[in-house]
Amino acid sequence: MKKKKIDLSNMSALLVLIVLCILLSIAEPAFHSFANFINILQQVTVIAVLALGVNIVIFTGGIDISVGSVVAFSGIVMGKLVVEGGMPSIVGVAAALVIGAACGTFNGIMIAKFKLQPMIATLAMMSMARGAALTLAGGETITGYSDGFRWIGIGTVPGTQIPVQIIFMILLYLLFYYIMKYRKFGRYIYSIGGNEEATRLSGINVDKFKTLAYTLSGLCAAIASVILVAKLNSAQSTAGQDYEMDAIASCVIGGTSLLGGFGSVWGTFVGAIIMIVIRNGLNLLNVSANLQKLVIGVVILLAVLADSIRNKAAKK
Amino acid sequence: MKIMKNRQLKKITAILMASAMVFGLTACGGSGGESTSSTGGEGSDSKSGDIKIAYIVKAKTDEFWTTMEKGAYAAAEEKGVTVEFQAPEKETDVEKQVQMVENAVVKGFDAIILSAADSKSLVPAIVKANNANIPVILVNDTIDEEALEADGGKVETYVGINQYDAAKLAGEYAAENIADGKVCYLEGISGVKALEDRLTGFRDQVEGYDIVASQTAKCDRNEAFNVMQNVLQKNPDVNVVWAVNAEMGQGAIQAIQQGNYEDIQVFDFDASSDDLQAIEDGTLAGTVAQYPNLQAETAIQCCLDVINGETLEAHTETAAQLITKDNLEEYRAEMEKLDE
Repeated sequence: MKKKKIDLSNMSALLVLIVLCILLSIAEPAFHSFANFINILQQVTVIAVLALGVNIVIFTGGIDISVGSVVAFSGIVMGKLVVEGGMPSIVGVAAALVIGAACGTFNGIMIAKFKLQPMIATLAMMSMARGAALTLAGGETITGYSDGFRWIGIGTVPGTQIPVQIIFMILLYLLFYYIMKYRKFGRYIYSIGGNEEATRLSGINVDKFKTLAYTLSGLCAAIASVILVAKLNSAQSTAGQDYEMDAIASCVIGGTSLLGGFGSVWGTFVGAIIMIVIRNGLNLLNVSANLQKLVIGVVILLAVLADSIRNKAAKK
Repeated sequence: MKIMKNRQLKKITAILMASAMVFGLTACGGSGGESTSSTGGEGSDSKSGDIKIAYIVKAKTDEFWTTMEKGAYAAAEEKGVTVEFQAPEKETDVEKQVQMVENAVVKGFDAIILSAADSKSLVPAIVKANNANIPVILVNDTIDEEALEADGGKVETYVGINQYDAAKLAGEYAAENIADGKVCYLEGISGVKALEDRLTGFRDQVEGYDIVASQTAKCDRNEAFNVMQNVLQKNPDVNVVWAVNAEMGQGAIQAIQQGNYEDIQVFDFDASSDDLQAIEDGTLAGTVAQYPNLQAETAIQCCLDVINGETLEAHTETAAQLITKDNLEEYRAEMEKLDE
């Protein structure tokens, strides 16, 4: 019974995406070309990677609104080390990942051990990470990375037009799909979101797994940051603003329940693509950005409504 | 069942708070660290007595403001006055800026230079300064004059460039050098007058061009990358891009480079250090410099003039210039002087 419902939720997002694509293809011939397909995947990468981490947190019944700020903080640290400190790019990337994971772990400890509300704990981190980025960099933009590093963001797979960042994104999704579906970790995460107390009583170290979920979210934010910096050739303290909202929206549109315990990795991927497809399509049609916001708002609303109706049905 | 409801309520509150924050964050600028410091005390002994000026801007998060800050301190030292340069954390934090102005009134500064974060909300604070006989000089951002008059307030002058004329410089250059333009406009945030003036200032000079796209990229680099990529997807023959700020210009350049497009002349506004590098690399055709340091110097001079009893014009215009490969080195040399 439960399995059937999961399939249904995935289907609805996918269905929306397919309908969107058909409509846009009719309205705008430039939409359905291979090059545009690649553009969409490239444009979705940063948000999709962020959403991947946030998704796991939402599975536990939590929320992480600090990821946008963590993107900025980890990016600035990397920029400082590589551009101003003259360190090899790999050291910078490693430092960014450590910073991201550390921010996430801190969130996790505050939430799991000190029982802070996830919203409040990550709100604090949102402010702290942004503040740290600003303190380190002030208003400056840190630019000037090696070609090797920039390859992460703008390089293509040899012999094709496919940006390597798309490959990174897909590999990451495959990895998370595997973990969530076939490893104990995945089952525990869903179970915590479904009923935390029962999970605890069955002898599972809930605190540990909850903390790990936030660590992964921070880590994903840092990975997104590395890709973003490489793509734009710049680290900025103002980077990633509002990205947490795009990430959360991707999860919700993809069928992840904000109550926890319900949702899928691929649904979120589809959710992120829906958001980018709307922007891409409306750009191609030369429609004003104000309308884009409106359309995305409506899509989010419909997704949450579907979530709520599903929850009601589940209770019965 | 009851527990479920409670949790749901919490979630809803969470989402509401989250969306409130999104609105709070949506802005061209960003968040910034607040810091106050003064200069001018050491070195030159004050010629103009102990004149203290509160210089309150919108943020310190981008090069425009940091260059203005440097310019303000350089001018303060030269003119022998004390300047306290302050800004809220982000450009949208209007309330914080209002408090800063109010604090400056209470602390009894001799003049206030203000770059208003909102054209209406700062009016009462300006009136408070008026009542305490502290002259207010606006820099870079104007306020709603009708609202100010209605409340009986006044400002001495507005110091800043003429956005339209400044953008015109880039438009004229494009019109002269590029025939048969197919232009893509990267707009700023709708409703911000300065950004709209920049758009029309350029557009009016190149009326013969085909407009293939006119889209906003919200003044953001990543957004501009995506929008440019999408525009090129449909119109690979674009040969002119006008971005109304430097961040969007940079995003467009990255998208053009990644797509291996050639012969696209990108113009933008602000002359950030990235812009200067891009001109050197040949990826940016031109950028409009608005000399925030000059604005700062002019504003401080205006304070001194007012304190000496002079009456100023409503708009004290400062110069803007188009920077291209031809005058890049001169401009750089000029900016480097500020860092000394």
